[in-house]
Amino acid sequence: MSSMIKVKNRIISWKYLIAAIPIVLYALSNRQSMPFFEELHNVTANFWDYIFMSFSDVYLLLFYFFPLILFISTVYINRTFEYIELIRLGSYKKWIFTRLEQLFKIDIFFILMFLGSILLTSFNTSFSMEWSSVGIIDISGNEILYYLRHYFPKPFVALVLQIGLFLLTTITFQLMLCILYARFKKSSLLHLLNGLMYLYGSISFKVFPASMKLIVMPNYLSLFHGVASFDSIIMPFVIVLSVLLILIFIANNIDRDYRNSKNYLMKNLPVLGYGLLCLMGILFHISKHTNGGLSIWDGFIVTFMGTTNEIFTLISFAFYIVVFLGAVYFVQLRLQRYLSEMSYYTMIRYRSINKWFLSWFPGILKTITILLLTLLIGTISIAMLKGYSNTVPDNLFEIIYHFIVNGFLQLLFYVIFVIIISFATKDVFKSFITLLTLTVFMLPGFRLKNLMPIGLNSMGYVLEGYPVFLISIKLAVYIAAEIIVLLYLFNKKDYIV
Amino acid sequence: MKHLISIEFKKALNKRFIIFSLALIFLPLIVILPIINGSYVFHRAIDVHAQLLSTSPIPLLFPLLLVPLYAGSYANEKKDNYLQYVRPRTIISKYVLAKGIVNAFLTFLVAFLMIFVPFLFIQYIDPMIGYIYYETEFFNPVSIGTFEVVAQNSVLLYGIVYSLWVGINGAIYMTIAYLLTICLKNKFVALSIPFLWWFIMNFVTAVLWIERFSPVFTVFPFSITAQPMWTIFIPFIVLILIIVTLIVYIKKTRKVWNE
Repeated sequence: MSSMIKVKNRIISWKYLIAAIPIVLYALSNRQSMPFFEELHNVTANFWDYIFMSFSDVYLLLFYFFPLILFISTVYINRTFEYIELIRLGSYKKWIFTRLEQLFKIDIFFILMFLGSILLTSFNTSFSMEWSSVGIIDISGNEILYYLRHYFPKPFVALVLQIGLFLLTTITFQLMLCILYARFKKSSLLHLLNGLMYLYGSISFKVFPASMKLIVMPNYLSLFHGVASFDSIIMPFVIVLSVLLILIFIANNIDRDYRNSKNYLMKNLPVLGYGLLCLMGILFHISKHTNGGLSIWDGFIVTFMGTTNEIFTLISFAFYIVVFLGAVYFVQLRLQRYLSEMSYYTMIRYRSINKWFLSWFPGILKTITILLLTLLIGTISIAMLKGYSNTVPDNLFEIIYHFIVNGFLQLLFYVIFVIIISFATKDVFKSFITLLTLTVFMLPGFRLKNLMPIGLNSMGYVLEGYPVFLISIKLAVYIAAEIIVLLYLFNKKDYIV
Repeated sequence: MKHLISIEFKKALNKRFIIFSLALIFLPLIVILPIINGSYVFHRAIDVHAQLLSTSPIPLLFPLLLVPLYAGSYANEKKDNYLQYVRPRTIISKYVLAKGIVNAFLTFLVAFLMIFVPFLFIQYIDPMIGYIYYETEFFNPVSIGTFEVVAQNSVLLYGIVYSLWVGINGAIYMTIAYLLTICLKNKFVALSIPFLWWFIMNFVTAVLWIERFSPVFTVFPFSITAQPMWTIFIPFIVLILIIVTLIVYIKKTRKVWNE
């Protein structure tokens, strides 16, 4: 019995040495063709040329060696999975990392085998620690040696990095297989994935244009390919490493109960969507004017331009509505909940509708402030990262005042407006329609001498030199009027929700 | 089924509905036409029509304007516990289907007339009155966008085809709103999603530089350079897919029957 388990759990088998035969044959054919090349271009090859010709060869790695390792790993994972072992280890996380440790041994064995077979075939060639002259020649068919020589000073470094990159990629994929197996426990899924990966690898190698370098498989298998595509030695490593870290994070959390976090995510999906839209808009506006010699504050004004009588573009109008009325939408969602859940018990608990209102309204004011500050800081930092100049304009105070104070007052106006309409009609949807219909006053020609309190916090006003304090006064007057209406609504005697 | 549909029509065609749809159909003509008349240079009647639509808030608020017609009726009847009393009297799935058909048809009709009545007025009635000022000396017609191809064949055909297109889109958006009121408990969210889609997708396509697939510019293709005809069907197909998904979801979870 114990010997059976030993056989079952044996990691490395001498049978695997058969896998070296195609490598040896391929390397031999490479060696055969080298003398012609030497003669044709009048160069002399050395030991390293023979090594890298096979060891960095995309065809050999992508179509044979890498899929083979993945296939053997899949078979191994499937063969050795046992619930008894899982119980002994205690968690899927531990199972994954134990399995990965054993798979690592397989990787080392295979890489040593690969190295051994090409050492064998490069036997009896001239040895030196330097690159040979073969790498100087820049013709199709000699990319491996050309780029390796171009980027790496010593062949030894290239060899170590090639082993490292291949090992890193293999481990990443094996970890992915382990995670998938721990989650679904179907070997067919893993085999299917391997098959698709094989197909995807060949398509990405042959079909994808150079601009899609990020998702081209050979870039992470063959050192020369990756380094030449990214034009950087570190990039392929950084990308694979970050993918590996993400997978390790997933593996670390695989035992959690996800029902709660799924609910949490579903609940916060609108907020996430809103944040994403804001980010997209900011990135769009900022990257549109990169290299325009603008300062970060100009970039900020352009992003939150909004609309004025003279300045109107559809995209800035749309972005204004997404950012500011999007924020009001969340207030409406809350109102809908409050109105549908409101009962006499609520009133008993809070004693009066005024107190009930004051129990949640300050929170909204705080959220508005945080939102405005986040938008300000976020846009400024994105502009800074995009290389906008750091000069401080003369009207810096005006810009910040207009964005924060007038923005706050404007949002306050929208929020109270929405609350009034929702309470008066007992239908939040009507407030949605009304508010959006009012945005018509933001269109050019409908501005009515800036009397309507809609879109008054557009940064376009600062650009036009419109007095920002006047806007604050206008908004304050409107808000005062709204508060009076609201107080009247709340304190009407016959008011029943 | 016929009976159910006729009942739904009777329920839908109340005073509020008629006032609202008349406002949708005639307000652009009454309010917007005097504003644009004289402030733009017009050569052809369809230029006026296009300018009228793109100046009015219709392209901005399209799905929102149609919601008050009839899309919220299921949610309202559920809220008022009316459905509870419908259940013993008829097969509820047929009732819901009849409601959906009436909603789609009425929305289609109003959206169609919203485009077609101004078209008829500007193209055929105005020449008799001579209210709109046309520039005749420098004839330099501007393209009115994607549907210009149709207008080159026949102006009347353009009026009909374009009104049909807007009408169908309106019906589809409101069918989505109606199906969402069945799927979601929250009426406000269900009715606002079509507009959020309309507006946010417009924003997203603009940001990603694929404005020609924007929902706004495929239904109201006036503020965009003329695109090939097939582009307008991409958002349309997406909407159809959404409708199919919603119907399958409602059938699978038996939303109508279980609540």
